[in-house]
Amino acid sequence: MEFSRRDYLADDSTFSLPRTPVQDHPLTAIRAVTAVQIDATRDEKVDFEDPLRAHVADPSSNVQIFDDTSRRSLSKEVGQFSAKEWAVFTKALSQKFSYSNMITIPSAFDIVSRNNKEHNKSLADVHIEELEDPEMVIKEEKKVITQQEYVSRLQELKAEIGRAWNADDRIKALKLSIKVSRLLIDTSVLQFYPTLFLLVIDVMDMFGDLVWERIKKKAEYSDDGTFIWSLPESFLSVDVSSQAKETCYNWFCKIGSIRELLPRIYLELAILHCWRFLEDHHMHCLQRLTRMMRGLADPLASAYCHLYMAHRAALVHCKDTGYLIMSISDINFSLRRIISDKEARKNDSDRNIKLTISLMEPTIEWIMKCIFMEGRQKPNDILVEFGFGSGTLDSTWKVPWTSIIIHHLVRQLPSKIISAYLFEILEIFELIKDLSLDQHLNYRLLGHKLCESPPHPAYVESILNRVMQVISQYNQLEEYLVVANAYLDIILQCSMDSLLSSILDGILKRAKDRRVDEAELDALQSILMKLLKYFSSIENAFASEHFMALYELLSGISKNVINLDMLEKATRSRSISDPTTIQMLFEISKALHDSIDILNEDYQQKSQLICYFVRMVGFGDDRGRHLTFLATCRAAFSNFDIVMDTLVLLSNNLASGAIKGKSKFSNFVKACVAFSEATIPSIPNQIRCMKLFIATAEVALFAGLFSHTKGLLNSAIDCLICLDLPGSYKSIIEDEILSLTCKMCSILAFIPGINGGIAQIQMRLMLVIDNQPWASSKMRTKVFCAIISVCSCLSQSLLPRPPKNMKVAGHDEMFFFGDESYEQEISLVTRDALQCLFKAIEQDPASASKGKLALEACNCLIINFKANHELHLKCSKLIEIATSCLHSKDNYLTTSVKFFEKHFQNL
Amino acid sequence: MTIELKLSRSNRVYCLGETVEGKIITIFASPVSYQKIIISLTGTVNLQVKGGVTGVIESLYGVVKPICIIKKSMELASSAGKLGPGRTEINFSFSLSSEKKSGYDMFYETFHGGNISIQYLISADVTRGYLHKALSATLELIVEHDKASLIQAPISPELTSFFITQDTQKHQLLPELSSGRFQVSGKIYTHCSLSEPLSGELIVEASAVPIRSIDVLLLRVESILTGERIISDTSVVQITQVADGDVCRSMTLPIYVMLPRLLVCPTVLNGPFSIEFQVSIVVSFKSELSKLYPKFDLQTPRPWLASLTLPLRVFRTT
Repeated sequence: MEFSRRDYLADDSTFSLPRTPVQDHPLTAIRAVTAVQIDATRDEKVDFEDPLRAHVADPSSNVQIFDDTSRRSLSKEVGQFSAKEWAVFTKALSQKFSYSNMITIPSAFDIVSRNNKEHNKSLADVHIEELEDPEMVIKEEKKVITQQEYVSRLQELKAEIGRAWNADDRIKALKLSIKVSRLLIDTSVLQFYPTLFLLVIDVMDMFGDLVWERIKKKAEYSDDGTFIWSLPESFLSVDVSSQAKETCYNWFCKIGSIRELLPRIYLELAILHCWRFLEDHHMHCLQRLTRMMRGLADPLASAYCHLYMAHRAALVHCKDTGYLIMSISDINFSLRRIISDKEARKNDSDRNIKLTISLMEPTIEWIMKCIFMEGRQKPNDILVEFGFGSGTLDSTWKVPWTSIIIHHLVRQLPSKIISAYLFEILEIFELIKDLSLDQHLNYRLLGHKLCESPPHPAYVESILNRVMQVISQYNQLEEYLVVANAYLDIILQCSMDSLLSSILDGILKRAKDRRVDEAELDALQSILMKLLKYFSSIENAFASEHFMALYELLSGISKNVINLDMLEKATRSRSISDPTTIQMLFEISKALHDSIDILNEDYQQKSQLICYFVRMVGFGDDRGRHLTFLATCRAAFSNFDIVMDTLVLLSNNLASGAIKGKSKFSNFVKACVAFSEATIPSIPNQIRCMKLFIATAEVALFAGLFSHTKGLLNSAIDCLICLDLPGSYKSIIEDEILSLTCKMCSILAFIPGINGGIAQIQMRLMLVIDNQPWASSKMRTKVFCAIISVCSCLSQSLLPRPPKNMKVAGHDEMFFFGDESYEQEISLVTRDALQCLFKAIEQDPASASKGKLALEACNCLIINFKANHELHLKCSKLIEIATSCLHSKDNYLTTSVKFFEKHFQNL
Repeated sequence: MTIELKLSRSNRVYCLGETVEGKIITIFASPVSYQKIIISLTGTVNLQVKGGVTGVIESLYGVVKPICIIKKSMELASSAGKLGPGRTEINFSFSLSSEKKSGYDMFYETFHGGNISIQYLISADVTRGYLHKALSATLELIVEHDKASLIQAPISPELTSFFITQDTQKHQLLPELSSGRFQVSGKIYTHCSLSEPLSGELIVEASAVPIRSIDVLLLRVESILTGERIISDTSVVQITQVADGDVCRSMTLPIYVMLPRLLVCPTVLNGPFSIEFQVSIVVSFKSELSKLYPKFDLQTPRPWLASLTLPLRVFRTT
């Protein structure tokens, strides 16, 4: 078999596309045009309607709807919204205060006993029984049960109430409900109270709904059970028949006759929405109930009672928030009493008071929410009722604030409103220092609110000065940090540098000589993040003494977070060349690298950032130093494969830069290649290694380091040997390997033969592929074809030239041509390759793919060999295989057959 | 064999002068022959003197003769006939009016008290000759004053202020109560309409001893003239707690007491008996001593209780 002669130069000129030089990059123009187009489309779409903005767009129509008689439907939406919120709230409440210990219940509230007498008595009897209620019976006995028992007993009771109701024994249902509601009188197990509350109001709600349904039925059906009409959702009391009203009033009478205050209030709240059958305005009723709750001396019981009212009042759609403000005022009043009591006594119940207040907090939060949800149209009016504004004539607010109440008020206030009342709020904050809530939390809240909606610039300084005056008296680092953090945004926005430095000084002063604890670290971290954002570049941050001093205080996770942030900031700049910056960032990266728990942590982000950083570093022309830096990085970031990968690419880059630089480079390139060669094996992914070996081989080839090139290519083949091909993604990985192998073959065309033959690597590659069990026949066919092609190339008298912009050193002195031993070697390799090729095709099970492979091989042979009988024999055999596998009209087959016939027509 | 009475109003409330409509419903398995069907209305005041309150002699009487307010009857079927099997309804109607000519000049609202009860009963009787038992059914009617008579006497609401301090108490108080100051003040409407709740407010202005509870007691005073003597008995109708525990000082607590139906009626002052009402505000203080008395009522003066009783005039408005 003899190779056909090729003229690569002529081929090049015939087959290359015509080229013309241009001034601009062709893609930049396209980008600019599309940008303009996008702008244009944006302009066209001015009439786009934002569904959320629709209401704001036409406030007049909105107001009209609101004033309309259909306001009920609007308020209904509010009710539904709060029902969802309520569910979230109650869930949070039960999670926050879960309690699993034993519960002691005074026997007066006994629900465990099951001696339920049959109640078939008249209304008058109920009265008499109420009189005999055990409330006045003082027993000291107590029962202890688990929470589980308590809950299951309550559920039983609930079911029993339902059963009694369905059996038309409504008196029994009422009596059981009263019994359940009485449980809330007992607040002795503080932590259990929220859970108990939720359990009890569940029963109350059910009872209320039963009553509601019954009265509704009375209104909708006549006495003898015929349906009259269905009551509309937004009915008024005039729509209700007098009979239904009578029944409804009876229920209120029954509940009104309950002797004890707390059950009476709870049951009236449970059937509160039934007032709708009797009246259209419920303001008085709600206010009366609120005032009645003042009779509940226990602050916890009273607060939760207010909470239940806020919840049930949503059902009557009362627009006026006066009763809720009264609730808050009364809670404030009782809080003041607890606080002042404590301050008078100073005894051991301090913890209990704190606990009570924390248990009351959710009720305050929810009621405040309700106030601003109902009254969101007029927050100013609400504030006036709270005693804000110059005219305090109307206010319901007469006693001094407690810290926790003002906190929740400010929290619910829309931030836009806050700036109008800022100085009043500040004044209250300055005055209040009680144990219900730490003062600094109020300042923090205000800071957050101000960030949302910054005050008028003219006031900023005086506001901040007032705040600073207060916090300068804080000795606790945490308090100081928390407040400083809250106001930092504003300070940075207004770039008040002197204030900033005095704050940072304040932090450093308080952090001196002590370890910063967990809570403080969070605030400190947030401060540093804000500062980092503020600095225009990372160099400025490193230059700032304050910043670095604060950074030194960090430890643990917070330090990592800030490190990441700093790296991110640094990598956003164009390049990093300042040696101190590089050193700092290197240390930061190193710390990040060392902090990672490689087995249990997702470190992708961190390693990616370090990669960016390493890539960003530049030393100008000082390549030696750059390579040293890469070597340091290799030692430092050994856990990150991706960094290793980058380092190899960078060192290759350095080498090729050096080659282009034309100065004496040989030693430097050798160093780079050696660096890469040593680095690559630390990457576990074999394909990645192979790729990098080939890339480095190319660099070495250009530098004329042929023995290095050979060594690297051999290493690449070693990778193939070690490769363990997993089942999934097989075809993708196979394609990658195939393209890499083909690339390797193309490089081989440029390597001269030195000591030990010209086709050594080809031979080795062939053997390796042939012996790999995972190599498919497609892969084999293609690789063997490639080997045949490269052999054909090497046997030419005139070798192909490397591309013009690539200069391979020493290529001119290719000195193997004409050497007989080389020719022999090549023909040997070619023969083996042909054998392997036929074997591979024949082994493939008959299918369309087999046919295609045969055709491919046939084409390869026709191109590379001279037309003679031997070749004809081989090719016709391949065509035969193809015809047996492929459809006779297959395009590839027909064109290949034509080509085949044309090639051998002279034979 | 059942016989039932059913009125046109399910709540059975009728005002004076109104027409009471209803029907007798009979459900029989087989035809029943009758002689007469009579519907009758009786209104009586039943007076009873409890032994403990009165002397030995009165206790022998036990029940004082009831006073008849109204009595009328009419025949729905005057001649004998037969009621068919299954369900039969017989309608009736009569006017509810005081018949001055028959000598009953007083009219009272329905009231269920301890010693006095005022009841109006409708009964239906089906007489069936001497050999068969008569069939009958009875139903109570709730009677209220007619609206027309109320407008004649509009009573202006009267707000009474009160103070409860250690000095207003006539009984022996706990030493810590008499030495330490306490003051509960307030106002209450002592003229109260039946359709409105009894309302008012109170403030705990000071109390050295913690308060356990503040309750409002609704009391009825029933007096009966027996011979030359008037025997009075005071009893509790309803207790309503307005403060549970040691409430905040100088906070206004509302008094809001729903007046129970049937158990309260407009005040009756003249005649052979009288029904009056009182409201009593009782402050109970926390004390170790009270624990020795596991069950105590709030009417009896106790060292840990301070109370105040005001007369309450009850009337009906529209």
